[in-house]
Amino acid sequence: MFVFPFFWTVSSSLKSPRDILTYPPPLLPAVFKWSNYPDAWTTVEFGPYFLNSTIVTGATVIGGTASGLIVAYGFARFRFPMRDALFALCLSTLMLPPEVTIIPLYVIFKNLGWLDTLTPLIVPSLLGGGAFTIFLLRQFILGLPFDLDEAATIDGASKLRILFDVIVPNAKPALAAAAVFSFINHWNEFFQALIFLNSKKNYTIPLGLYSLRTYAGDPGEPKDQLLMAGSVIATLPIIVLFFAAQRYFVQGIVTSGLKG
Amino acid sequence: MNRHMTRRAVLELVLGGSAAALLAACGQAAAPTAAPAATSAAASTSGQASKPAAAAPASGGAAAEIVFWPRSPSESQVVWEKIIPIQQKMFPELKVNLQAPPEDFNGKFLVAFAGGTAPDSGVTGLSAFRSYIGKKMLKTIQPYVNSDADVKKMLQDDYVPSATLGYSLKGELYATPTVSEAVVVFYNKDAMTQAGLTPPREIDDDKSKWNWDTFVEYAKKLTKGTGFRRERFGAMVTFARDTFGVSQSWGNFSYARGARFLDPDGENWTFTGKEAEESIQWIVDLIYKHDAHPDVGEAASANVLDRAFFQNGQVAMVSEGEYFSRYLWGTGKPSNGIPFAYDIAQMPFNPTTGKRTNIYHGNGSFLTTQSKNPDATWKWLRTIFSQDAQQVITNFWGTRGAHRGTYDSWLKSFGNGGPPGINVQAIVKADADTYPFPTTPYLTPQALLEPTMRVMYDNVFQNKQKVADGLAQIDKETKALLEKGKAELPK
Amino acid sequence: MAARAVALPAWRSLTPARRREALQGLLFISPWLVGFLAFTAYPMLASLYYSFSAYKILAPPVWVGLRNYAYAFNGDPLFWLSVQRTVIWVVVTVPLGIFGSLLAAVLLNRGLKGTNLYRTAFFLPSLTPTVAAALLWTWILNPRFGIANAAIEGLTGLRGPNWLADIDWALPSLAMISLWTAIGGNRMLIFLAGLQGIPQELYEAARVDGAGPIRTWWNITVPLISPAIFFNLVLGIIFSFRVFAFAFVVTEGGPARATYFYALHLYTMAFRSFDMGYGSALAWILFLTVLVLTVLNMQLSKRWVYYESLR
Repeated sequence: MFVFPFFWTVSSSLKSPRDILTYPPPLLPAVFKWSNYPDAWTTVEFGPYFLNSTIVTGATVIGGTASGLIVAYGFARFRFPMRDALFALCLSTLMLPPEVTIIPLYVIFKNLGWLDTLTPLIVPSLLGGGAFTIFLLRQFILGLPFDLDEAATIDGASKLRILFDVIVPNAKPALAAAAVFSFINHWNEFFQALIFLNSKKNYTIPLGLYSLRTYAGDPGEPKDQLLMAGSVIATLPIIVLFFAAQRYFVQGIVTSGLKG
Repeated sequence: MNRHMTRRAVLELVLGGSAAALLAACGQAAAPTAAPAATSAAASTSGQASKPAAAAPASGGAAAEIVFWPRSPSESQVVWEKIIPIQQKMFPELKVNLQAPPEDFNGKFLVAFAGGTAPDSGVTGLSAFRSYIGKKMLKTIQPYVNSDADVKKMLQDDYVPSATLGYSLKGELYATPTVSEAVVVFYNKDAMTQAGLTPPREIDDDKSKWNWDTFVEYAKKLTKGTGFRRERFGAMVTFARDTFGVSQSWGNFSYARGARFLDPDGENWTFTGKEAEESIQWIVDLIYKHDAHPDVGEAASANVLDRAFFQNGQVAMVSEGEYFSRYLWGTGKPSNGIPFAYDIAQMPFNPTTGKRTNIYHGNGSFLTTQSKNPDATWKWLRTIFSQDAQQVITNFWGTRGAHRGTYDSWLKSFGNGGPPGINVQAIVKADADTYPFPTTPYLTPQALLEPTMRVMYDNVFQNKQKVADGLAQIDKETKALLEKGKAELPK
Repeated sequence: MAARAVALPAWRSLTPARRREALQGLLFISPWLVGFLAFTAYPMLASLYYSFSAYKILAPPVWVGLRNYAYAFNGDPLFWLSVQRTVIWVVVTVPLGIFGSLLAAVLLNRGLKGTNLYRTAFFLPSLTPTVAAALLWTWILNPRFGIANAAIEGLTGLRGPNWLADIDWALPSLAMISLWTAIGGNRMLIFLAGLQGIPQELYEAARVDGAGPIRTWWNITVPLISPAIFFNLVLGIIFSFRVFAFAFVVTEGGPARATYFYALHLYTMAFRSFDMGYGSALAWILFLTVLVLTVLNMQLSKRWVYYESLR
């Protein structure tokens, strides 16, 4: 039942425009129109978009998860004045709809000369990776016993060393999860890319997908089946990544052995 | 602006901005934040009506680059990339940078404007024009037109009058009319023959034979079966739940009956009285009393457009804009073609007024107030005025350009590849009785028509509310919206 | 600056060791602090300022005090309507979503064969890009051409509902879509990670003590995954108050405003009606509501969320 929408996406991506509107809808296309895939690929120039999305996503997943881990470590393992208030402030950045902050943000990036470049999609994420990542990793670190840190401290390890030698090995599942979520978020990010990018050469995949949407007043033919093909193409890297990251999710958590 | 300076400027801006807003939060009036300040500066420098530096002849002028935003990538690919070579011939010193937003043209345009980085030019539907003018986003091109005798002459002799009218406010032109669209009746010819009816194209100039009453008779006779999944509905005149419904379908009936949504300057809402009521009642009757029109509740549901019904032969007559031909023989034709013969007629006459009308709703290309190079931008708009560019539009857009000189080849080729003998002449003839889309400088068309769309499609057309009550509700809500819009317009 | 004034007395009372710890902590969170100050603080405060202004985007904002807020609570006919739709949405989708994801995670945590495949299958719906998913669901639920009604008709001979086009069905349909796509997504994976972190020894010990499955569930499983539940609850509330994408692309708030959520109203005001001042006021009302709920949540969490090492 959960696979059905995806199955339907794939099936529709192989249909002719006419198949899409027949009733009852055929589960499989009458003729498999494989040419929808190369058509989708060339219609939106997926090549450069893939490269752009890969740059943005690669940089933000690695940089964001790493810096998010550092920040989460700070929130989880240190006591300092205003810590909870600062943490609430961090979470609060998720609460304001982006529509009302987009104009001042746009002005900042304009003054930095970053408009129509990939920079505004990358740099802010390198600084902590966003509240979602920080919160997720903080929750996870709080689930690790403090004994581990103390034992390392007695051995003379610095706080940074503890992060890398104690927390990271134990936090692999959470880091993998955070990286996957970050990947999905940035791979599919649409609103900021729409506002900050102008030139086609700088477009990311979601912008390419949206340009396959069909509107009543558009010249040219309806492209619904191409949109489906495009979205299958766009989703494939995430599926591959998810498969690759699977073993980290299930990798048992080492802490269990240290208890009691 | 100096790149080296800006980084520091931003730091100050960030810190200063935060401090200012902190003060504001404490209840004190703070200085306006940086963003709007930048906007107002940009607006005030470019807002002054600068005299064009003499419309440069084709070869003259310094090299310049302008940014142009078509509404969508497909539009850019189909049409604009073909017009650029024409521009390169006319104005070789000009470079036009095509940047088509894939989605939400309006939102992106707005943010770019607020940030002071709007494109020099763009293209948008007539319906959005006056709201952009009201917001001081568009600059009139009248001075350029006045200094260009060729354009003046073309506007007088060649351009569809309602196009010029639609893009003007208080006598000033704000855009190059780009696309012109007339509304006609597309009908299933085979179904007509089967039902023993005279094809409407043969009688569409005869008020006694092709009017609302005979249209209803036709629709009833063309209907086959009952229920929503019947073999065929007689007619569909409501389009999807969209402001296009006003211009491409039901609104045209109201205009023919003499009703108007707004007064000519877009100052007041006027969609009341027996004219509006009778025209809407006629449509409701077509659906529920005569049972010859698809149930609007189901048909207006997501993504089922009248074109799908018509293409499948499930509805025999639709009132539609000429763009509809794209889905019959143009680029949007089903891969297996249309399984029946079809033709075109002009709209039926209203028996009371003896009129049929068209609501004009084409597209136009504009000049923004933030353009740093209005003179260069005019060269681009001037290119679009040219008959060659208009011919590209007529040939490739799927809807004609606004220059009537481009229609001959279009007619001869039966609207670019329509079935031989098809009555495309009806489309050109329908240009005669057109009125601009109802717009106002005070509100966007979506905001203005929101109560109309909601009450019509969710209540009145579904026979859940009496026509008079629905119109009264629309009247009340829309007038309140207009008042609010007027009070808030920037001076 | 205000922060320092509050922080200083606390700072003085700290022992040198605690000061060192505090400094280190601040150093570790500094990437976020820098990012916040550089890219988030100003836009947030600017929007706060707009919310007290008449700001039509193309002219500078003019201070109007509380006028926008007053209009929201007393005057805007769509404010309470959209609040009502949104509250229904939150109340329905948050508990169902969390419960559903937890259930899915528990089922997948049984270590049955092919779990990897199932996990991917559950995860798939959340991967489809919104623009494609929207089109997909309008096809599936299309009253006339859709496969949902074809299946219903085939199985029962009855006509299915109009789904997204029906005033009464639209919101439940959207909720169904949302649950369907999200149950196997992020939330489930986080639960799964939590469940797999529970040491098996604890379960064995409980069995030795003679605890039944229900007691084991409440005494071991729930406390140990409570950080994950808390995480999903907090974010679930935040994001479902902001519900937007599907309602925007699929139903556009209709029919008859049946799915006209708060965020949609906000967007319409800010971007369609060019009223950024009022839009910002709506945003800050939302912000404060969600902030209060989150802080309340954080306070309450001290009673039920079990952390191995909270200090």
